[in-house]
Amino acid sequence: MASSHGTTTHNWHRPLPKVWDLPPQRIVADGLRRIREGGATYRLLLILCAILGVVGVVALIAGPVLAGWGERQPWTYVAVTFGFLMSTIGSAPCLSVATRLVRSHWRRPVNRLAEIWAAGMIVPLILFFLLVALLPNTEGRYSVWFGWWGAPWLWDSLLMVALVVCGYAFLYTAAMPDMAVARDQAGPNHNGRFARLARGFRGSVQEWRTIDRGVAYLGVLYVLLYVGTMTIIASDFILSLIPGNNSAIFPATYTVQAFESGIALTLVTAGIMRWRGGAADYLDREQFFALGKLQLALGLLWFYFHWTEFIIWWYGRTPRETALLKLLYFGPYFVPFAIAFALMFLAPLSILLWTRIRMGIAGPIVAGALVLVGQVFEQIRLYSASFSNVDLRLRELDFIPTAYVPGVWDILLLVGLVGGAIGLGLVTLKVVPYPSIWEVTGGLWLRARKPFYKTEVVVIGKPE
Amino acid sequence: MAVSGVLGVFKDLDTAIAGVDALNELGYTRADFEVLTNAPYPEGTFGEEHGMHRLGLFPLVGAACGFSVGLLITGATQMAFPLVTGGKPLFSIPPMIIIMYEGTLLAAVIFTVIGLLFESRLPRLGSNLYDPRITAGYIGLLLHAPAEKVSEAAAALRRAGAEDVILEEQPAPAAAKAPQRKGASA
Amino acid sequence: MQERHSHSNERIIRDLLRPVTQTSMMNWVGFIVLGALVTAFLFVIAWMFYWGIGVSGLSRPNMWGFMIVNFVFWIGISHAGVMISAILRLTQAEWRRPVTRAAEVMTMFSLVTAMIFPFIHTGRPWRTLYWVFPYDFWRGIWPDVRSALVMDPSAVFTYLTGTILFVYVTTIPDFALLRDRSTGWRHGLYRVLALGFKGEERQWKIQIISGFLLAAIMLSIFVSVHSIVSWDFAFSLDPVWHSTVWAPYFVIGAVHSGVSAVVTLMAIMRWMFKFDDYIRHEHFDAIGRLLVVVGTTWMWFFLLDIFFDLWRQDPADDAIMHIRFFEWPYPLLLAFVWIFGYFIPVPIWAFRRFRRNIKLMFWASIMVNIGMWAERYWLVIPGLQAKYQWTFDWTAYRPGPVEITLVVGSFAFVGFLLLLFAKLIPPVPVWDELEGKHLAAEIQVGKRTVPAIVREF
Repeated sequence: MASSHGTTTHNWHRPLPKVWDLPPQRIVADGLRRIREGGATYRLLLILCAILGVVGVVALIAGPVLAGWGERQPWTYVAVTFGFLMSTIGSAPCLSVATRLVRSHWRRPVNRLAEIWAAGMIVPLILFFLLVALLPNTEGRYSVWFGWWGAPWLWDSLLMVALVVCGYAFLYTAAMPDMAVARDQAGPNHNGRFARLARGFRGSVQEWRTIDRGVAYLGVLYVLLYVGTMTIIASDFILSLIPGNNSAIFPATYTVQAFESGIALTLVTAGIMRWRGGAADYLDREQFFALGKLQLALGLLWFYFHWTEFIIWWYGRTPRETALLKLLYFGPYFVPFAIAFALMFLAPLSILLWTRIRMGIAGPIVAGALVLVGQVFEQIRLYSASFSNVDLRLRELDFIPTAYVPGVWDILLLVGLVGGAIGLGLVTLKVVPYPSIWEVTGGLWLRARKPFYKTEVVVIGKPE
Repeated sequence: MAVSGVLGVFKDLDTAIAGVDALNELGYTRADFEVLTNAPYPEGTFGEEHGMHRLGLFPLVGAACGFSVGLLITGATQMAFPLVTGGKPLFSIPPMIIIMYEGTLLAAVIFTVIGLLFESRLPRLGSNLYDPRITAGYIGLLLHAPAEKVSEAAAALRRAGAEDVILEEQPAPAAAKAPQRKGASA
Repeated sequence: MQERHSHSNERIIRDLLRPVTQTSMMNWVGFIVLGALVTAFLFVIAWMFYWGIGVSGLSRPNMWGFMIVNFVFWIGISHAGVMISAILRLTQAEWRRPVTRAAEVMTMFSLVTAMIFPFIHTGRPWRTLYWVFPYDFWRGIWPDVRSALVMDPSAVFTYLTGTILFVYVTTIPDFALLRDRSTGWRHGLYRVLALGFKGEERQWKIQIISGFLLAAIMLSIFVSVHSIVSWDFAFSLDPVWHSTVWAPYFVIGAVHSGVSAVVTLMAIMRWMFKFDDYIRHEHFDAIGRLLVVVGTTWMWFFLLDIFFDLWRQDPADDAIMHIRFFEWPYPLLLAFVWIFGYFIPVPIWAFRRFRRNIKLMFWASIMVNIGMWAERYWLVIPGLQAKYQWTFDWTAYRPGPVEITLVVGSFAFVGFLLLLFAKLIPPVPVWDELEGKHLAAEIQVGKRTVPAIVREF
């Protein structure tokens, strides 16, 4: 076994990955188990999330809504929650799209875990409509809109709605064949609901082709819309609200760190499903290893993107840039920045650099969880800094506003609404089977364990 | 105890595996002989390997060395020649990081290659017991054993279907090049 | 659908060694034509050293012309090797096998070519030594580490050293093969280069692991190199250059042009060396899909750069954006960037039918590089063309015959080196192809035989 030696040495034989030596019936049964009977833990979690959701809504009303739309600062933590959800549950489906495009085999039991988070997108959509009303007209201030008609409200809203609709369509299309399985196999209590959802899917060659193409096209569209939306959010809700901040890299930074936390969310979800969700037969080293590699790569990119912005400002040394460095990095928000730096870059690097840890299961999950926490602080840093400026017509910051310290309502709002969005993901598991029956079953035929002279190898079919 | 070598050259994988079995029957384990091929086969094709290596250590040591040298050069030149350029501090850390990063990676690459050579036991220009047909797709089984047991092993390899069995001649260094020369012109 | 061949070991080796063992008519034509251009290239460099930098079209305030554009362009092309080789190695993409060597070698030669340009651009190249290296103990004057003159050489030197070692390490098994099949001086050369490699199981294992390690390290270097090249511009306060996005924008642009150049090279190798069985339609298909993603990401960064240049609404920025959009020849170049760099090739690559059409892929990849060369010109040259308050003479940049020869010559130089290299080292790694054959398998699913691969984790 690999683990019997030090980190710099390893034996030449690693355990072979699982080949899902399961009969197809077992996959169907596993997929439908949660639909038939959720279990006590599941119910408990659902209740907890519902309570959190209610708390979040109450805090939202009691805090910012009652304060009104006159000032931006009371809305800081609404924006933090919005940014965090967009960067996590919004980006997770992109991972599923990417792994489908490269036709990786390990993705099959993972994809669904990334996709179900699209179900929670209604929460950031609602928050978005509350927040977009705070944005002033773009005329006379700096933005990417240059005084376009309807900007920013109309175009931002259109993009956001398109993204959320596309996310639901993607989730639904990818789940439709499994809903047909549920319609026929889940029992009399469920077949009515699933008959409506599966829309007469029978599994003909033509239907499979449509599903394949539908999932691919909707997925690519989702990623394109996601990148576009994140670019606009970064520029309208952060950059244009900080006088003098025209950092062209920032929309890309914001998107890349969202991809990082999308992977982290999928890792943590997979970890929980393996631990408590009865998915140990599907989610094994292979999946965590592959996700861990991606997590490490994106962690390094996090540093690269931030460094690039920092070094240009450091070399520029104009008053505009010095003020921005102070505001965003080393001034009032140094602590959240340091935490984000530690958790979104140092933690994945120091944990996942070691092959032995990356080959395990706990390491990538821990790294993922830390990245998620780091992302919260990153959003706090960004939105607190951008929502505390009053005069947006300035060419550059003439003074550095003090740090915005959250109140109780702010914290409750953040925790509550994130809990609510997680609840929506959990509810989806009642409607969308996990593991994805059609994808995992499809993988059974393309994966075999074969004797090869004095050893045994795993053979993976590449039909395309 | 004098140790001598024998190389069995097999035409294909099936006969080579028979050769491995023959050596196993004589009591040799996988760790006692080498398999020579023209491209990697899946791990364990010729039986379980137990070799260990410390290749991963090399880039780490290299990175540490490169980082230190980078730090020394960038730090020392700035301190030795205090000249303000572009209003930047006399001791500017961010540009140092860029150069230290390059130094770290440069040394990591160089040390990895040194590690590769060290762990592969290269260079071995005077190496004996080799057959050029191996790069053409033949498979070689190379055994070093006490001199008195070599003929027994050679016979076993021949029985298993070796197309050729080459024995190391004594004294090794002088005659070592013979098989290779012969092969080169073949 | 894959089109695997089922050739014997001997056939594969013979086919892939053909460029080394035989010299076709095309080879000779290539050597002569490219050789003539390289001679002109070297002559022009000597001419410029003798008469000074004034023989080029450079004049105040445009002190960075074709030469720097070409430097950025070739650094960009050099990003193909590691992109293809390292990323595909790390992701164990099976289609990497026939592509890696040529891509890595192209990295090496285009880096060498790229380095020539800033070097000769200094006019007094011998002086660069003490701008770059801290060796001059007598004067007590040391290089300025805050300057791009130290940073840039350190990055390019690291990348070049890394690439040469990477190419060498992955070629050792092929040197051993050549050693066993050659006579005379070639045998002596390959014998030394092969270091006595015998193909022991341990050696293979170490070869593969070191391939992974080097790939990971090279990937980290490759991102830094073009970033630092972009910082040569972006660290200054020049309008439109001083942009935070330039580093990743340059890197992704480099990948776009570099991977396209690999497509060009693949098509040429397939035609010239008759590698139809090894560089197959599925390889073009895969690289085409990769290019759709790379190209689109590049376009995103391109738009970010433009939008944020305009965002500033600064008179200096706006003056240069005006030149870029409305003054000859920049609108034409912009059209090249958009049409050749993105709007013709990427939609073509979106369709599988077109991705598998090698002629189309070849021309699309050429187009991308025309577009990308234009992009570098469009980005770099106008940056210095603004009329500042204290500029006492001012003119637009006009490249002279010297620079045009240098640009044409640089293409010939890389081509010449590649041809020469193919005479010494097989351009498709033989052992990698043979490993692919060892790992190939099949799975029967109903009536379909699915090509499969032994996956090692």
